[in-house]
Amino acid sequence: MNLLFFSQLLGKSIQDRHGEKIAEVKDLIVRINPSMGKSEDRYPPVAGLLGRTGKREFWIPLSQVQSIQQGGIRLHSAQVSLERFERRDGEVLLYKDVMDRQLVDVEGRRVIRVNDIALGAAPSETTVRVLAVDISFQAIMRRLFIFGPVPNTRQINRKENLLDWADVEYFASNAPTVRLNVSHERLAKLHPVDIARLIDELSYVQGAEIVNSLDDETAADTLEEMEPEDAADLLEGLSEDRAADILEEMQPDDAADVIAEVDEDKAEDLLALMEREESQEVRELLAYDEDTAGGIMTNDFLMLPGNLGASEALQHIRDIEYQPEFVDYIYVVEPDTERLIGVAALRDVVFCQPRYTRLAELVVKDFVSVHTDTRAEDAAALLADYGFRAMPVLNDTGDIQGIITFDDALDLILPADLRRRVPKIFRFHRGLATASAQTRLGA
Amino acid sequence: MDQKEKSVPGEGYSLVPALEPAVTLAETEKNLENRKRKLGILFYLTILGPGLIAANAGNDAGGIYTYSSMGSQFGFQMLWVMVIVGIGVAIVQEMCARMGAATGKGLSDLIRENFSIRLTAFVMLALLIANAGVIVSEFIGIASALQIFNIPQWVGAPVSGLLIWLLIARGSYNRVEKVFLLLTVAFFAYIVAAFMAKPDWGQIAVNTFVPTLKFNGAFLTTIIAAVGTTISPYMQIYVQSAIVERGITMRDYKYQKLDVYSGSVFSIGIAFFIIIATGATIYQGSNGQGVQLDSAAAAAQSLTPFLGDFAKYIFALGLLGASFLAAGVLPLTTCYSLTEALGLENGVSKSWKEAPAFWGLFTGLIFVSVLIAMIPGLPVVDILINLYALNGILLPIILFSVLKLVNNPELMGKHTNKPVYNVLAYGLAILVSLLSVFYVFIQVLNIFGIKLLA
Repeated sequence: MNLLFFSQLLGKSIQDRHGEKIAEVKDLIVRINPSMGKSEDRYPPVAGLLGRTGKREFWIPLSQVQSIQQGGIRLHSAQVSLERFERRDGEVLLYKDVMDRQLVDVEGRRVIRVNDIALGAAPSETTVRVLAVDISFQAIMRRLFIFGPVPNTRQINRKENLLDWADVEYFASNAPTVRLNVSHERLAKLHPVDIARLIDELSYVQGAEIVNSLDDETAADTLEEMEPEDAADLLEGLSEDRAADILEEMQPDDAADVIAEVDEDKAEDLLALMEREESQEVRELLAYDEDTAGGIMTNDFLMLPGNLGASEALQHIRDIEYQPEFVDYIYVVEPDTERLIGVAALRDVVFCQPRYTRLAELVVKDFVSVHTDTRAEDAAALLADYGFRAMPVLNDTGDIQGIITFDDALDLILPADLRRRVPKIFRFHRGLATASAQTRLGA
Repeated sequence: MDQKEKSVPGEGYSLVPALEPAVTLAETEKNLENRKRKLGILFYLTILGPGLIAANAGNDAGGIYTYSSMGSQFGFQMLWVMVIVGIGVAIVQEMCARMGAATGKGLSDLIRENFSIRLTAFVMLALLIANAGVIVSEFIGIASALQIFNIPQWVGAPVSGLLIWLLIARGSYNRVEKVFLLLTVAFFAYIVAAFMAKPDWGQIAVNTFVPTLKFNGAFLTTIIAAVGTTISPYMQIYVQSAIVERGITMRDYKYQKLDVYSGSVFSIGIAFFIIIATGATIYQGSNGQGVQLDSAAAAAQSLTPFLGDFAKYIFALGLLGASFLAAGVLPLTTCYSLTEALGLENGVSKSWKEAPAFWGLFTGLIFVSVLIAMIPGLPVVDILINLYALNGILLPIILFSVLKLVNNPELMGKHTNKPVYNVLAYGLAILVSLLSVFYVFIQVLNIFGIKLLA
């Protein structure tokens, strides 16, 4: 069958077996299926409809329906029971919960609004399913004007306007009165930067739903990409255990920024719930002001004593239980202290001959460093000037306290305007995505 | 397990990372407090914002003109109106702020998601007309403020239009916003002016709490304009979207409530002193006859004989700041709410090709407003007062939409209006509606030559 637009069905007549009008279409009930097993299960099947005569609304099960067509709906039977509709878990009303709502277009990585819904059945089956979402302006025109242009479903520009249902993600929070099991599997596969940007565009309720569905690691990566205040707001909306789990996975410097934005009592609770080691790192970083080098540094880095041989050093690095994120440089200290004597590039340590060369001989001794109290912008500028990937941060006595990595410095250097413009420069292969949507729809 | 304590056999040193003594609980508490304290001031500065900006932009060209003419035409007789309007603006702004915090969605989003598509289109059309009117009045305000500095309107209007367009398109508006906000500090001069005029404070107190009603066209039109300029629909939309954008949830809402209320008190306070200043000087000077003003600039200038030459420049600066503030906020707010409600691509970071409707509307609004403001010898009074009366007439549509949404438990959970609050809010909405219907009725009769009110 052709595609059928939901707006063309709304308010149309429901006819009994004899073709007599008994009611009007008020809404369609679909079952949102969380299982992503069979491909056709991604398209929610129509499970029933809501009819209305006068003021009375009643439910008609799918088993009584003979056909669903543009002109209206025809039933098998001659009578219907005027049973009141009760909402059941897993069921969504197309008009009330989907139409006009926001969804995420996973392929296009953007938030969209549903202007109309395309229904249809695959050639091999009779079940009518939700196939696509229409986001075009024409769809609004179609709904606004009774005698507006009825679309020729074969001519619709599918590239831009019709999004395959399998490419969009629905929010359980759009239908707050029922319990829905919506998976955000596809969303979770996006890059954390994209997820963060989508969350930023959505309401905080939907944002919390997304973060809740992510695994700890992805959630942590996503929160790292957000403004600390926004991340703190999201965390405060989660259970404390979950929030602590996510904080553990975050970079200690980002975690400290977020913790500092959380309510004070709650911050203590979260730190107490985190594993001792991670919370310890965060507690250390909290001592520094946000706008100093100490405030933007991380204390998750490689520090080894100078009397270690190259191969021994590599062996130690492999043995570390939680590998630090940044391993390009090894910070070499005097044995038994934290006094920094130099910085060794991991590359040099890997390739050096002979293998027993001590680290102290591999280091660059006249390294550039900043004090923990240096202004954050100055430290970032210095890092950029020298083109290092990281720079050590020392205290008064020359002990290493942490390092500033280039990505943290970048946030301070890049002008805010430019950062806001990034989405414009950065476009994903939308064409490719819709091409696949077309083949799937094209049936 | 704990790598901190893991030592390498025979070597006697520990591995990564730093091995200071553990930070104690007390220290953490102190550190957290320290960070919070530094954050504290910033926190309040950033959060005390949307309400203040919205309320402040309300004291724009139309606002100053309306308040000035309230004082110059009727002395202190209209002070009681500002008390009611002040309560009204606080209630409406608070409801919108609460909706933003409870749902995390803007007003036009909520309208689209909860009203039928036709009703959405109707509300958006009303909004477009009302806002377009206010944008025109802002550019008239900018042009006439610049005229006080001897810059002709056919230079001032296009230059400022281009400036605003560029500032927003280049995304640097946020930084400039603070400058405009600072300029509005000039309005404190009205307070000084009010005191320097040595008004009869006893009379002021009486007129503030005892309503005076006059059944003539000018009185009624001025009341509607006062309602329309103070409780402009765009302010509600702006407050709500600013709260959503700042990610404020019901947990932080208590601070936000403070912002909304203090913003309302501030803007109504300024309005109050404008009425007192003009009432005690111009109205008294005319021996109770009342003086019709030509424009907001004329209102500022007419104070010169009483306060000295410097006064008009200060008022012009204030007018310029407030009008710029609103002229920057308004076109953007309008475009965002319209395109969002209709599901069109929007955003300043999108290009013309990506979001043609957004940019087209934005540019069109500014262009048309500049064109109108450039016309020499414009009957500024009639235009401003009619534009704000139009705002007052369209206000009930927005007010009832807000009330319907804020009382929907599916959206607001337990944060719907309390009964007493609802009585106040519905009372306001019904009062405003009756006023607008009455006004339209009189205007229509006027067209047919029947003068109901002198």
